[in-house]
Amino acid sequence: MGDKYVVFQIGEGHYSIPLEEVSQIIRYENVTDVPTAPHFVDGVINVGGDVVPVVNLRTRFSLERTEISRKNRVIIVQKQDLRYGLLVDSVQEILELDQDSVAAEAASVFGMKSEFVRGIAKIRDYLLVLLDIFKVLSTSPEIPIKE
Amino acid sequence: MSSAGLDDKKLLRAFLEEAEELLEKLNDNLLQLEKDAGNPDSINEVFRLTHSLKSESALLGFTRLSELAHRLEDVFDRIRADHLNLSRPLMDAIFSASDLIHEIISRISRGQTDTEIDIRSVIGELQQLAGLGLGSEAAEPVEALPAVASAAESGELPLKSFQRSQVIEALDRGEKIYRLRIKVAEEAEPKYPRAYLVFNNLEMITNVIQTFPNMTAAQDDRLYERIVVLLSSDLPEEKIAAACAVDLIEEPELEVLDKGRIDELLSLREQGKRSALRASRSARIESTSVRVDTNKLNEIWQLVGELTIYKAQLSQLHDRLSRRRENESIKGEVERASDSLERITTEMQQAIMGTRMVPIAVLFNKFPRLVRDLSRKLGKNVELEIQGKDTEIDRTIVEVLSDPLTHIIRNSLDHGLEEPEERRKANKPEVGRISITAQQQGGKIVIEVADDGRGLDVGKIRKKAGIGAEITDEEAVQYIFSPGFSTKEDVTDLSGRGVGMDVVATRIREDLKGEVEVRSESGGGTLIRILLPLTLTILHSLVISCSGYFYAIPVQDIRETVKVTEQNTIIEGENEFYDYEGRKVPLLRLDSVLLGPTEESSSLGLENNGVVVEQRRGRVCILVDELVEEEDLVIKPISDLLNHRRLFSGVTVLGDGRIIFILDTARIIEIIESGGFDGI
Amino acid sequence: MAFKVLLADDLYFMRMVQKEVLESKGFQIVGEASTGTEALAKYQELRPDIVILDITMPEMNGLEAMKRIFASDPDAKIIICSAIGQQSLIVDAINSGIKDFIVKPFKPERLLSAINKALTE
Repeated sequence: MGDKYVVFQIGEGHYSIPLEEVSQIIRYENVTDVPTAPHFVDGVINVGGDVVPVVNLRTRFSLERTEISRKNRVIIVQKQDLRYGLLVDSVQEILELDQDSVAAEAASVFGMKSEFVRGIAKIRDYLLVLLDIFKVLSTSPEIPIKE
Repeated sequence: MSSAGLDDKKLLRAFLEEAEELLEKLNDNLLQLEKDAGNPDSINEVFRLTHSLKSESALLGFTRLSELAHRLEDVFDRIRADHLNLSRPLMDAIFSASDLIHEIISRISRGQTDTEIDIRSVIGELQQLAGLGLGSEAAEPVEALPAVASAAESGELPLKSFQRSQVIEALDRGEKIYRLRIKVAEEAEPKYPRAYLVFNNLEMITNVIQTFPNMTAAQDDRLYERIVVLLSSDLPEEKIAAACAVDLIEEPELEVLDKGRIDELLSLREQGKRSALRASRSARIESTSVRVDTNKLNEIWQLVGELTIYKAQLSQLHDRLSRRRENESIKGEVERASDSLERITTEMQQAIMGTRMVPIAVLFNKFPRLVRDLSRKLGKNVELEIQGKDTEIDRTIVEVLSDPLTHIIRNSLDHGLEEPEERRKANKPEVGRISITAQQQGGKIVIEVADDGRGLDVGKIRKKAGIGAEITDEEAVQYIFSPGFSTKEDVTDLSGRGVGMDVVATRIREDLKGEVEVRSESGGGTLIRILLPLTLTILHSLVISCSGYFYAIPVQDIRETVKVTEQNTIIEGENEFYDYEGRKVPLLRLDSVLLGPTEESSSLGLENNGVVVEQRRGRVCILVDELVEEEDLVIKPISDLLNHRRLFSGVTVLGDGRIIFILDTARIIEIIESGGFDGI
Repeated sequence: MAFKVLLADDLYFMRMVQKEVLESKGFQIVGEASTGTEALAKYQELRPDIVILDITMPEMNGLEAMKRIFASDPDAKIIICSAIGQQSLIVDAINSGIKDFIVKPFKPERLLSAINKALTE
């Protein structure tokens, strides 16, 4: 019996967050531009009456922007009253991970500081990074997540 | 089971296999619980296992086994909900039950049945120890049932006024009025959702005016054996009847009401048919007053807020459709839906406002005692007068208002009102008066606290605040609300823990989005006036546009909208001002502040729209592109990620889905007053 | 032509019984799911004519799966299985558009009459 994770891709990297933090996965549509927001916030969307900021994770991870394709998804994450939308390149699958197969990581992984990484797991042919997404979201905009 | 053509042997074998596995797991978990009674995983696991066993054994007709498993499931349900502790004797009873289950399954595997097994004693034990009821908990016979049911049957249930208008409107549209009766089959358990299936179908294709029993708020399930629905529609009868083609619904009867019957229905007012009304009231004994969790209320409130948005979207859709030639019938339907939605949301808003509103008396009630105790302590003779205690305010405002109001009254008693000696010398009646009044005025709640005491010492205030002569006395006294105005030395401990009117003002302005002002005459008393919005989350706002983006400004902050031209602007160095009634009001170019300086920033052009906003701290004239519209907006909190400069106080979704931000005028004025936007 | 049915219930035994009942009356079970997530995935993959969905399933519970199925296909036909005392969930499901609901423990005849009514509208 393990925990479930939503696996998604940003560039070449595979990342995941716990399913219980995810409230919805939707397409990138009807995003309203917000010029006053930080550069990695693409805008806001209306999710069930709530105005949710869409964070472009590619940009936040300092990768260059790409065009939106049919594969892009916005993962809505929620913790208590806070809700955010994460724009990812694609959502791969929902995976069940045994705690034994997850290695805690102290050093930085793929240029990502260890404080954002809850652990890593070897999945078939790729290495999966388990993200502490709320840490990423609450970090000051000037501080990069990835080097 | 064989009636459905199943292979009993195969099923039985599969059942037994599962049951064995289940039992083993059950045993393991129970042993675990013996060592560690609070283990939540084991508790949940046992609950799950007994639940599965209950379902599976019932499927195969092993009713005793199923019942036993059911009781165990109930016990563990209560344990996991923390209503029950696993005591030693209870644990023993549970083990007995588990052993009994084991025995039954052995018997079944040997080809016997479970009917000879006596489960009564074990169940009895469990019930006693676990405090389980015998079957369903609620057992008050609803005696008024027959009276109400017959009232509905004969169609004598009076219509509410909005239902009456629905009937009239339907007739205007050329629809027919129908009464539909259905019966929910005996074996349907529960009945309410069964009936709800039909109700849902009907709602989608007709206009449901009234249902008996009430379908939107479930009542005692037993009431839902027979349902009567009053509806209007222009569809053929077969279509309407088809909505009743739901399993376990019987005897559907659809009748068209002729003019005579309709007139009767409409004239059924409170006077006539009193008995039916009384009967219907008493039958609803259980549901007239309900304790509602405030969280639920807030949830509902949020939903109403969303409904407001959808209502607006629908009416916009209707507008769009109206402009096209085709789609007449769709247009009609949209119009109907729109009207209904409009009606329902207004009613809902009012109803919910009703549940959220409490009479301000809850706040005022403690003041007579407070005044009496304090005045005695201070040796003063004071009378308190309260007016408008029935004025209703939002529940959430009550909690926040309590402290500030109390403080104002203490202030009055302490500093405002004089001792009897001094009053006599000033030719005032010996008994001092404090009056607290509350009333609703133009969409706001106005609360006034007045005393006939010394009044404020304007001179002292001027000196302390460093106010020059160009400020009038009326304006000077408002300075008691400025932040940091009072110091610890000024305040005695009777007036509260060393805080002053400036803190009161902050609470009222920031927490309640309200306003406070003071009127005073030396020797003539002091009046403090508090203005509060009726609710905290729906704000009457002005939507403006700026560089293609839209923003909203709360109307209560707006002093006036003006036209800004080169002629009425004054430039001093780097600062621009707008000449407002002879006074210089800082000019704020919203586009530069929000989006960064643009090229067009330099010249003003012929005429620009300006919005003069005002807070206590000062005024600002905000330069915008267009004044778009005035709207009631449902304000939602704004994510920090979108508001790092804290220029917005909230965000809202307009009827057409556009998302706009609400400007925090207090913050903007604060920034201007403290030197401008550089670095922000 | 046989109607295609998707069964979703976390109890293997339940699914087996349902399968037996339905197949004996000519329905074709095109897939089985034991979690809400699986139910959603299989629905999208198999596009059955009707889904029998248990709303007491853990892990992306049945109700959530039902909503997502409706979101992806507003015309989906779903019959839910619920436990006794889940009235508000049932009403919620009805509002979302289910065709019917069955309360556990249920008799096979009930399942058949519900599914037949739901498919012949």
